[in-house]
Amino acid sequence: MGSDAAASAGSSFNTPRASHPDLPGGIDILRTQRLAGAALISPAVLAIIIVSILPLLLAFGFSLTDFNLLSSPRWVGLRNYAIIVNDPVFWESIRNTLGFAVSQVGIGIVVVLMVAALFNGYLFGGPLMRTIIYLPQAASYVVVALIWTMLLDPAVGPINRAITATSANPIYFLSDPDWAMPSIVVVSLWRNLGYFMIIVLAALKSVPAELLEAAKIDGAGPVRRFFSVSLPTIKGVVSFVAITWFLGALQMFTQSYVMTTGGPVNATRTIVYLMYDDAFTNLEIGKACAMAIMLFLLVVVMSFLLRLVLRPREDR
Amino acid sequence: MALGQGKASVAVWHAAALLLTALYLVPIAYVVLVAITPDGEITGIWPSHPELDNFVKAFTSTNFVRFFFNSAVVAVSCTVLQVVLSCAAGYALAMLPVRGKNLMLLLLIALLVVPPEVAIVPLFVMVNHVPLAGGNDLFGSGGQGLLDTLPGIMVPHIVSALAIFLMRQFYAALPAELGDAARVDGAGEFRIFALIYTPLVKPAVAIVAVFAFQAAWNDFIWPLVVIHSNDMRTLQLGLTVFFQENSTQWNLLMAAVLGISIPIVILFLLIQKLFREGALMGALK
Amino acid sequence: MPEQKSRMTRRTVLGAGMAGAAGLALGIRPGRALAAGSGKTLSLIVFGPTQQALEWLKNTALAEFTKQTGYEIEVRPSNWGSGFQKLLTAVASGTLADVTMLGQVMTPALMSRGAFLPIDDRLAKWDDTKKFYPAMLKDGTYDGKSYALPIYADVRTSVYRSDILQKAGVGPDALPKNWDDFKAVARKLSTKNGGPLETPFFSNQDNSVGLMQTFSMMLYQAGGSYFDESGKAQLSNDAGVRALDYLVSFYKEGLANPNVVYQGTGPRPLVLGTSAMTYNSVTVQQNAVEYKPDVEKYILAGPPLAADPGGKPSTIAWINKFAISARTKDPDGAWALLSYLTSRDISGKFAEIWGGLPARTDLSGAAYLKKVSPGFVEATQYAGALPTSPNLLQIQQQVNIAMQSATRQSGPSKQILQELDKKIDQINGK
Repeated sequence: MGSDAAASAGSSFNTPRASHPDLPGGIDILRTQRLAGAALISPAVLAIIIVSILPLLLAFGFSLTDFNLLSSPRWVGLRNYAIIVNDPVFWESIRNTLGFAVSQVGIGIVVVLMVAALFNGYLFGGPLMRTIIYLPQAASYVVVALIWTMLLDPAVGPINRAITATSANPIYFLSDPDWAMPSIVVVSLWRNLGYFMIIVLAALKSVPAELLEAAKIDGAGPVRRFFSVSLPTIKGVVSFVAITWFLGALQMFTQSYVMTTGGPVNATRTIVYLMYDDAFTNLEIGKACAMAIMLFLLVVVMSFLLRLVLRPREDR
Repeated sequence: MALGQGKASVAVWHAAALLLTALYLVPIAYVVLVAITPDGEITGIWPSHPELDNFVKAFTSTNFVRFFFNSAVVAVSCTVLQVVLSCAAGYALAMLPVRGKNLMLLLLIALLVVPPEVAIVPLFVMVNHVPLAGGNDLFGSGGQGLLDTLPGIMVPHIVSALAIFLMRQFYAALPAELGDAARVDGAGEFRIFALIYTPLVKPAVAIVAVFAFQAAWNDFIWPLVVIHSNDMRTLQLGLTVFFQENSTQWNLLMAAVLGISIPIVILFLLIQKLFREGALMGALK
Repeated sequence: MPEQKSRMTRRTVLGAGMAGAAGLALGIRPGRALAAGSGKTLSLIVFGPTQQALEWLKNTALAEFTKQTGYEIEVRPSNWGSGFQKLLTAVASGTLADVTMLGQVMTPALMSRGAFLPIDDRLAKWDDTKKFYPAMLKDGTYDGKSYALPIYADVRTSVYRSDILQKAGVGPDALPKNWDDFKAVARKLSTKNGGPLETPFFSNQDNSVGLMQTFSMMLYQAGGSYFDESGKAQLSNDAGVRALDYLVSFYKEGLANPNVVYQGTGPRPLVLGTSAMTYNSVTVQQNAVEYKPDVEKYILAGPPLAADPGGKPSTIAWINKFAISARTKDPDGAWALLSYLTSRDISGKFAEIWGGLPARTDLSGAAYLKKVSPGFVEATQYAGALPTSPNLLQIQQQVNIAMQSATRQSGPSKQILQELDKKIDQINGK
């Protein structure tokens, strides 16, 4: 989350506000302003350099070395990248990561639109229900993952209790490779639904009533009105939601770590998980950094592609 | 936009909404049920008696109080730092003549696309080599640096390009004349920043604060990487470790999950509006 | 007045920034200050303790140590599954605990990276040194230097639930000695043949490397080994393929379920009675003591298997140890803790509740051994060890993943093992 305000940053920068040059002591004021500006901005600049820019440069630098923390980095050129792209597990993790993002957001957007449309009409107890759906957002991924690990447990979980009560075999949601990732997708969707629903709901509320009224007079039914009036109006917000959600999903780690430890086999191993394993289990800092750069490239490419596909025409 | 109007469809909408709500309420109710089930009883049916002792046991068997304290210290410090840094920088970028301003803005926007996970490994190396910290020498070698410390956990959350950018947008929407008028009255630049403009962007400050708090509070992978000793664990890490070590004691685990989540949920309900505004701001800006 | 206020704000703003920066620069550890009691503290990592074990360690063993020496001990328990993950990084970044418990495979990986303090001088002066089984003591050496002391041996063999076996007409005197007999018992127990169990055999799928351990034992029973003389991986040779074929056959025939995963705590499948045969150690019996005391008497250790009738039985022992971090600030204190933990009484109790065989000769008559199923002790003479490759820590994980895939019948054993060999050689830089 949050890595995508660039989507909204299309608005042009206001030109710097010059002070009135005819104020008394104009030049002096300009100088104090420069000083004040420098003083106010430098702590943040310093912090950004330390926690964002330098790590990014270092990630790239280390990715070209063999580095295990114990001895100094040794230059190996692109070898780490060659190892990564020749490793089938890397491609599996790309598939897992993209699969997670595509299915969660693909299903999610449809569900979010439906739910937002539902709550946009009059509902008795609507605000309360909305709050309940929104509630998991207050809990962390760890908490949500733990709760669902219990709910999905083959022995004690209620879902499997119900299944085995009908004398069917239990479903090993988290230890069957065919079920593990779909389970994580559903759990993540369960947590995120409320958050994105609220955004879309607010957008729906801002659709001008006259437009809807006019469509109604033209004889359009509710479904038709939704698709031909509401949806086109809120397209910008919907694509923002899709992009933010998707790019966030590409960074999935916590759910896999807590619920399946990346397994079974490699079914839930994501790119971030591989990076974590390389760096912190295998002590291959160089390879882990190359993996981080791969993640970076994936996010950049995907955000470019998504913007190309989803941005409303007039915004391009 | 209301969907159908007929009585039948109203009933259908209510049923759908209730069903959806049930998908949230039933799991939460089940968690409560498990949390009050005494040891050795089958979970998922009504327990012989509600075992409230589970909460006490959960919170004494592992030092969750300590983890809560760690998480709070980290989250509050990060929130304060992030608010201060982004107000100052956002204001300077919006209102003051700063050399290289456009370049900085472009850089900020470029940074918004960088996933935070990319920085984890190099940041780990950097935090490990902070000079003179944690037994390190002047060149940052020999000790553990800031690893396994609370400041170490804070590092990635002390500043956010997104927060600076948002604050800049808010300040930029305010009229320049306010400042000029104050200047005529002889007010200093810092005073204009702190006392004239910043009170006008209070809602934005609150939203940045909420986001910063949430990011630091919920972070998992970074504390997982930097923390080694029990006492430095954050709640998220502490819960995970508790789960790994006691994965079948679901009643205690769920008691812990509930005990930890309740204060946050209450806090969340109190400032719900802010969360919603924060979510919207990104979208509608 | 307004001017004053503005300065206050500025100072507060700057102050907050400075405090943050100063905090970062100095590396203050607010937690430490709060936690420190008497001042002298040591940290201790232990793997795989149950609640009961942890309580004994903290409240009895270490409480006594604190009374004797004044050291407060910060115990860092971890399960085996996530335990090994951060060890290498901890070593490289200087965050390893003062004293660390080690599994078999962790030992060479960490010793070769200079993680531990050599203890040869101290061992030479210590009376107890000669009390350890020489082979186990040797297992804590690397490049001619001693780094670790053994605490218990995890000797594995085939383990059964005698009551369930009885139902299928297999008495305690007719336990399998070779692969075919073992498989035959599994078939008899299966619901497919009118037996009582869906999954008679459990091959230790868990969140750690249990499956790799089972495969390794089968590999040794088939006469195979991990590496050839030049150090290249040779799992895909005939013995390796035969071992994997045997392992996978249980899944093919529906005698085991790859999705049944032991979570690391709670009753094991054998204790639960959902399986009746496995490859494991005294740990299973200890697991029964903790979770289902009434089935303890049914946990029966059989002879280690041979691949063929009349063949050489074989199994593997994992020696768990303790070692001192090379970066400890208090080597004497750490040695005091290490020698205390491996002393006769503590070491014996540790072995008992962790579920292993003692590492000291003066514990061969330990009271708890009388309760241990005799097969576990007898298996010791057939036990080999995994190779002491420094990279086995990474390799074992890759093997475990490959086995997870193989048991789901993802492809021919030969092909799976060839890919695995390639991966292992890559990790080893061969």
